[in-house]
Amino acid sequence: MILFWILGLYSHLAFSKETDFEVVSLDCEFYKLERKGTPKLIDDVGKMPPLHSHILGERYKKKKGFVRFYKGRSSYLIEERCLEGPASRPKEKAEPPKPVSPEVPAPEAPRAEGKKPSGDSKPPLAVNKQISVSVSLISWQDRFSLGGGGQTYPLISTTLGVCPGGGWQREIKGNWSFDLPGCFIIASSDVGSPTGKAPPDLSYSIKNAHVYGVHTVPGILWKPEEGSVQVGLGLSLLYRTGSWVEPGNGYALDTGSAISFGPMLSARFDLDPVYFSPKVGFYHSNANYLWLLELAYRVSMARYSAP
Amino acid sequence: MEGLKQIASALILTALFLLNPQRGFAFPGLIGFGYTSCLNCHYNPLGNGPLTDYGRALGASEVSARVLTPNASDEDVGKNSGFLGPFGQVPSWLSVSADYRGLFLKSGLEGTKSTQRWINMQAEGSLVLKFKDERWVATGTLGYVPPSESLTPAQRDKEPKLISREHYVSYRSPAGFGLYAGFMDPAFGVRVPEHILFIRYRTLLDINDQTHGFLVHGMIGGRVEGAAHFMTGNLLQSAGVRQKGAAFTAEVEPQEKVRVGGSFLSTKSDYRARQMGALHARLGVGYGSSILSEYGLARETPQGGAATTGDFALVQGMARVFRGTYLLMNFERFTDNIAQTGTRTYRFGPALDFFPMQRLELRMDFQGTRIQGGTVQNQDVYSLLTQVHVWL
Repeated sequence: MILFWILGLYSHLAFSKETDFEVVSLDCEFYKLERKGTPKLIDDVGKMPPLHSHILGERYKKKKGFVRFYKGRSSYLIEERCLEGPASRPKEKAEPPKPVSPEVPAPEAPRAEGKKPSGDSKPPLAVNKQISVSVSLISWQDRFSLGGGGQTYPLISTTLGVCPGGGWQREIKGNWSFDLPGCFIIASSDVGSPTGKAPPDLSYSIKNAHVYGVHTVPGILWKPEEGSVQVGLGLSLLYRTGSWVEPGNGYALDTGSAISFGPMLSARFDLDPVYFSPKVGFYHSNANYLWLLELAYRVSMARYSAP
Repeated sequence: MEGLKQIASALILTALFLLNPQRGFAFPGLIGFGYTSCLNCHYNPLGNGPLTDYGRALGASEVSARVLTPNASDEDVGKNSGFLGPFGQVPSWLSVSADYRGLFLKSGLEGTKSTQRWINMQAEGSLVLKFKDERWVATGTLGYVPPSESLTPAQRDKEPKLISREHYVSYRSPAGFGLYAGFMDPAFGVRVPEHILFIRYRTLLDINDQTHGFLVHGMIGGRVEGAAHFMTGNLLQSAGVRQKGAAFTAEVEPQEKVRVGGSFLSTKSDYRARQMGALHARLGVGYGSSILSEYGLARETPQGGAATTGDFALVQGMARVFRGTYLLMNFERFTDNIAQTGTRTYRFGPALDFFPMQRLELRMDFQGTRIQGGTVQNQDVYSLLTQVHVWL
């Protein structure tokens, strides 16, 4: 079982761009640190530490020679003798990771080291930042209206399009992150009257009218204890404009507010370095919902120790 | 513009097939726990139908929460997962199970006049006889079908209320292949439990669409799995409507918790010919979460009429939030005819699936259905589906 365990972890780490150490021994023991109680020996390959686990930089006090590594809220222990690489070297020999993005500050200290930082009674807080590029499918409905002859007739615009963009995510604390994705909408809409609600003297129908806009969902993501998924809530903001044709014949088109907002539910499935994120939101102003399928590629990730 | 959207759709769906995750997870979603083959948990090698003893124990120990027995060990939970629970075990050559799934459907939420009703979706019992170390198995499932509410009382009385959902005998060789003869679901696509998804009911692979026939199932090295199904149609129906033909499905496992595959089906009756092809992927994500995706084409040729080709798609993300609690995000698409600029139906919605304990599932789905194209634009249709699933 342990052999499978090691091979499994090694396989994961070998594929990972974030790897800063490798397992060099095949008879190591792995433990999971629970909030309370003693570390629990892991003997099930299905419960192995998640990807991108990285050395937290401290030995575990109660088990001599064990190094703590970490992702999110979960912490694990592995014997120090089983590691090789920057993570297992003394601090002065470890090369600090280079900043990967201008937006990400240079790390204050090497993340990976085999010794606990001196003079600090608390373990450093691991802060995680990610920048990604993405492409999404996006769709929503708008309620328009036709005004003429003292009457108002409802219209519905159904929009479907693509939304290239990107996102920025910052770990707040533990399993909580702030997320700010955004994208530019290139879409088309079909506009027409609902059944039985068309004006008597006008048939107004548009196919594939060009629609452009921007969409963003600042929000909070929460990561469950196990797994590489996140669920979140955000505030969906949509601005759109379109080339809808005026109806003429004494009627005027009212396309309503160009800005819509409302709550949005999201899930994120991490298939490193790609993630898939379906989202659904509700707009009170238009009494409809917006859905979005986002596929993103993480172009940079940085961790540093916050005071 | 239309071309750009089609390309983006194809890119996203293709990427879901091809991206190379480091970790995977999956009901077909059990791949998320590392269980890639349906054969582990079901007597039917392609899923659906009664669970094996192992499947029962796995569901109890991995999928369900332990609200009433928080301190129970995996061993205890698994041991009590049988038909009689903690009160004993049925003989090892016998497996008995019963399922009930009821749905409270509230539809028309978008308007001022919503409707609601209770639907007995599934009420069935299964019996499995096992011989020679389970190499020989005989399976039968009898289900209750409530008569349609659109029928008159006299018509309702004439409708059959009990039908067979499965009855077959099978032999599994130690070499890794199995032979199945009898009445089963056609071997096609991802067999999701939600029978109202477009990839099931729009493809006529619904809860009552089984066929008689002969199925060969095989596994090669644990990483390649496939089946060929030769179908004579439903022999309980009149001869003219039986869809006779063949179906093939196969999956490969390029890495742990990742399965990609394809299916093909061709059938013909006196009234119509049907060909379908689909690609699918099942990806495990982390521990207990998964992504399922399927995209397919269906060509329908009515007798004496012109053929039309439609498509169907599903992307389902299932996130394990806690033990026994899953957030699902479903995206579906369906068109009757992709060659014309007709209507395209999209359905999107979140669902919360909660297994508080073994033998009980509570689920709530919100579904928004949007139709694009056509001459009339109608408001999205919203439905709320609340269901309870109880099994023994």
